Amino acid sequence: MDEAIESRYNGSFAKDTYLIAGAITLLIIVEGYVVFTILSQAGSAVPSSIRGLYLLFFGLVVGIETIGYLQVRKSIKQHMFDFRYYD
Amino acid sequence: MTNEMAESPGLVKTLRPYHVWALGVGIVLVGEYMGWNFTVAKGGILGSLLAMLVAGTMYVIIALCASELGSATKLAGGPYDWARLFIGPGAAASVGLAVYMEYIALEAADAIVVAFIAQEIFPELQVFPVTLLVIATLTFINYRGVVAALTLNFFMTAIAFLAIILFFFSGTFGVFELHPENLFQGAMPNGMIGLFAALQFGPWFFLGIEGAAMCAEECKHPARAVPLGQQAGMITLLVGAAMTLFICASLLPSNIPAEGLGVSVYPLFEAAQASGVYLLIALLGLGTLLTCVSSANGCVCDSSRSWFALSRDHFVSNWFSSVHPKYQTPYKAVIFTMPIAIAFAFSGYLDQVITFSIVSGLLCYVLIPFALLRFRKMFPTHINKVRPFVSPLQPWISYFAMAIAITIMSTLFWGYRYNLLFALAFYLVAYFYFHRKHKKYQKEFNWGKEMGWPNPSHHKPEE
Repeated sequence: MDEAIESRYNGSFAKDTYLIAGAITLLIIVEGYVVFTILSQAGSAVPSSIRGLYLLFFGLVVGIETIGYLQVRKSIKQHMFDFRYYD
Repeated sequence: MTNEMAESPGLVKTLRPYHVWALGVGIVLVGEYMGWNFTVAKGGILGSLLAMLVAGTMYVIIALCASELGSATKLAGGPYDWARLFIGPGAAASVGLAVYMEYIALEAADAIVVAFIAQEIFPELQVFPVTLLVIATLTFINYRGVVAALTLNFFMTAIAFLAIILFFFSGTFGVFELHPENLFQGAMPNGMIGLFAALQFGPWFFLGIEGAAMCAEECKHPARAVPLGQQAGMITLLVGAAMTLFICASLLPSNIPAEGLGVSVYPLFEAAQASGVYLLIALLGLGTLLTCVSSANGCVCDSSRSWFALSRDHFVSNWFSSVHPKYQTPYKAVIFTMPIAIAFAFSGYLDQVITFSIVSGLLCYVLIPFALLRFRKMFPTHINKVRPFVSPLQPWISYFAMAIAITIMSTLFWGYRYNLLFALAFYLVAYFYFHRKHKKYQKEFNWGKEMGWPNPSHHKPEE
């Protein structure tokens, strides 16, 4: 593989990585802030067992999306030269 | 495949990840500008939060399934093609029609809202001609080319999303005063039953994101563009939904279900008005208009691709499967969206049309994960040629998404019983009709020729 092409591919892949990392960080911060602020203000209106349901689904949304997006990064890294993603 | 199809040019392959993002978010973001707040009318702030998290979990899983299926099949029909390849012709036709109806109904609703907003700004305008003009203009843009249509969507959607971000951070950093007491006062006005009734409107936050994968056939590198663009879109919507709920709930009262946030027509715009900041009022007003236009635009794109795919496989007239020789768009399928959208728009039953759209979407959310399970069973080895993107935590999350979709569908019994039964009966009839009709076109599917794949694991070679 030509060194210039490899360097260009690595540069483009780094941009995808920053996008993925930035999006996941934004998701965790905003979703976390909103869920915990609303629950701290209004959560006393529901029994504690129901509050657990909120935490469970918060964990599922953030957890599955984070794992999924990291998997996207892994897939791009694995195939970027085979499928010439950045040509 | 007919001679006409073999000789006609294929769809142009130029789209990039940001087009995929623009298609997905462009269709859906309107649901964060209006409609989601019906969750508040049913279940208060806590009902809305639960609906957002439960529906969000389902859509995250659906988006992952769609990313895997879309990047593998690279076909324009999206859910229709996945059902055709991995479930069967009856399910495929039902899903193809469900997708078509979901997006056409949404397009009609969006066009009417654009006309109403235009009339509020310029009272001399009439709703009927403006609605027609919006539908005709968007059809023309999509006729001329997918790149122009989705680039337009990218800018409109980006402005509308940036407006939400600016509004949220202005509130949290003290540019205007928030009222956290609203969160407690409107927490749960209808009790526990309201919490679960609110689930039926949860899909409004994300309805249609699976459509992002429907441009796979027109992507330059679908194996990268579809998962990267679609997951970026899903995170955009999750972030937008959380910001919207928080900022609207902190500015508009919701302690009385019949008043305030729960029944607001344009909740983000009204929340901006409550903030008293003129720049934000203008920005959120513009965002409301742009999201409606971009949603209608994306709906023309997706519904025409679904109809095109149905036509290509003889489920409907093969006449619609032509590709424009110059613009390389499925132009007959695009033009055909116009009379159907107009008929929906002027049926006089907009709320029924929207409910039909939601039921159609939920049907797809049962069948998309099911198609993925079948796909993995038929092609169990993860070879790159078949499956460039492998979604994680399967098959458990697919079963979970199907369970959530059925649960949300069942909550429609509170208030929309007849709509639900009518829609299910419609798709059941479609299933048997198309299954019977398609039998005469059925043939041994050649995986190597059609998809470039090896034969599936259950394939038995001819004696």
